[in-house]
Amino acid sequence: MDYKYIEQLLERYWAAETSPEEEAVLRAFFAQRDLPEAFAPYRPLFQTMQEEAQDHLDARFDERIMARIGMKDEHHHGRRPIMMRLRPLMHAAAVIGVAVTIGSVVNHIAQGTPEKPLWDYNAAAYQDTYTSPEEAFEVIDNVLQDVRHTYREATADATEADSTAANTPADSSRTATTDSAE
Amino acid sequence: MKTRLLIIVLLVASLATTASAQQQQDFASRFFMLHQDQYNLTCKTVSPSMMERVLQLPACDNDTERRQLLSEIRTLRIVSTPQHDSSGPALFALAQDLAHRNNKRYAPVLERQDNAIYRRRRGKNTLEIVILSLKPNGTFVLTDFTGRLGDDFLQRLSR
Repeated sequence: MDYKYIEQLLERYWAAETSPEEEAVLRAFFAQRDLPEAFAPYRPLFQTMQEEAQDHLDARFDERIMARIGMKDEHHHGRRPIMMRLRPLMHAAAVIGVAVTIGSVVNHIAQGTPEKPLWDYNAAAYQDTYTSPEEAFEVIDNVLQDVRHTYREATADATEADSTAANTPADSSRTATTDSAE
Repeated sequence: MKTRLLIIVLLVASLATTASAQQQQDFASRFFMLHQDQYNLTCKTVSPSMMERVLQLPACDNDTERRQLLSEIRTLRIVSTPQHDSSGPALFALAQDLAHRNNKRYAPVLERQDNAIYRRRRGKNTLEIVILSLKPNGTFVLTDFTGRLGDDFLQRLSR
């Protein structure tokens, strides 16, 4: 069997020129049971390397380290707190919120202050007492007549009081009318 | 921490916006809300949608002046006591007091011993007219019109 390739690898290994893959080949070669005698002296070296390569941290290493430093290993034991788990969602909400706020401010600036609607009452707050428009019309008509009567009477009295006051300035009328509701 | 602070700021901002966008309450509903528990009051309401239906009645087509007046009214509320109720004068005084306490909003058009009229304006437009009446039989009646009422609404009404 030709072991030239192995010999070349060994030479390169001694010259520290081998790659990790080539060293793995050497380790695999020296791990075989039936090793040519010429290579036997090197077996212990590569066996040690093989064992070292197989060395790894045991399953409880993280746990023990975390216990030593007084922290819980959350990957293995228990769930992360809800605030931690919701953090990405909160970040997303904050970004959307900022974007919407900036957008509305820009829109507001671009369009100018929107004019308030003149009639600013809540239409939904008016629950009808009357079910038919005829019934409502009758009530409205009566109310308008009543208001007409009240207003006429009041303004007539006010005019009369004003003329009396003009004739006798010392007379004080208890009737007051103003139309300066600005 | 920063995220939480940002969320709180946004929440407060949105609440403030909502609060500023809140709609107004008319005088009659405010008065009724304040005194319905202590006094025997009834409140009758005509909504904006009912006013629209009223305008479609044939009775409105015949009288253009009346139709014009009705078209300016969007809602009507009548708050009243039963006839011969002894609480009439007290309620009249309470309603006047409410108007006086809100004098920036409701300006007096007319104030007499048994009648008072207040008006809410915005710019040159009248949005609400409140009429308080104390009838000879002791009944208290509060009539509240809202709408886009012409400046001479009452004068036109009294013709």
